[in-house]
Amino acid sequence: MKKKKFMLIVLLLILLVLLLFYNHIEFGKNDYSNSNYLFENYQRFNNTEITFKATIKDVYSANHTILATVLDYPHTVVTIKNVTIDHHFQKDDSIFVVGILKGEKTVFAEKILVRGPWDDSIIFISSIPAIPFVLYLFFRTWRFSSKTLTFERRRKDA
Amino acid sequence: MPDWLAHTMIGWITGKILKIEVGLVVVGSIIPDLVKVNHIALFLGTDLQSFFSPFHTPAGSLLVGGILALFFLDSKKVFLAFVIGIATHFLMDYLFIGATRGIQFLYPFSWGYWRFNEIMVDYRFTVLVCLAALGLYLYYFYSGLKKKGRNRRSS
Ligand SMILES: [Zn+2]
Repeated sequence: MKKKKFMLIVLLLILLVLLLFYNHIEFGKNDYSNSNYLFENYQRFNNTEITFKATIKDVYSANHTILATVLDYPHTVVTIKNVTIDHHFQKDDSIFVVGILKGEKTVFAEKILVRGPWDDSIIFISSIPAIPFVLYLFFRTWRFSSKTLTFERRRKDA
Repeated sequence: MPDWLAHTMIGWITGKILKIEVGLVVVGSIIPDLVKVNHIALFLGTDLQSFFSPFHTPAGSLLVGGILALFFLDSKKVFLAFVIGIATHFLMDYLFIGATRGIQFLYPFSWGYWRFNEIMVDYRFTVLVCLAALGLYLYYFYSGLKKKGRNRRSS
């Protein structure tokens, strides 16, 4: 490996580590991925679109309303309004909600996806065959040379 | 959020169609999910999401792709293949939600999520993508056989 490339690797690695640390420091103030953060800072996110996972606690079909427990700790109970009851929502259904935050614990639903009890397991299990697939496709063409510290193309006639 | 199988298959299809080395594109297609190393941390009893979440952003993934590409002789060409793989990953995560909230396209300048809300996917999407990949594979396989046959006859 050339010295110039080595220096560039070191530089980019430093940049990456700095980015990860920057993220760690700012995470608490910007954790949009944690729905609890969105509900706690509802003034900041009021009237904006949010998403969260929850479990249905109660369904009030007549009012087009669902009461749901948010998956993220501390499991706030929120009211989901404007629910089109074309789907038979049931108590204990696990849902993924896209909606507009209206006030402290109320969301106007735009979309609700009912997640099957096995959805996460299916994602996990079906991801496993991807690992040998990627390794095969990659190492079929490339091999790592410990001498040059680079990946070299395998010779086709080998 | 499609699973790894769907991501790698989409990467494979993209590489095949664009005639870019599929082995590199599929690696690129799962670079953003390096964020999942946090599962190991969770297993060990600590949550490091606050450190690892940038991996699942274009900025973080491009940095990782750039570093990896420097371990190849033709770094530029390899980086381009990684970028295409990374792009397919984010495009999928942007289009299909269900387990993730979209993509932080402007990170680190903004932490907001971008998503195209119309389509929510589950395992059926993966099945569909695998069938499409199989179809494409068979197409290339048989057109390759035909070509070989024609070459043999003409020689
Ligand atoms: Zn992803």
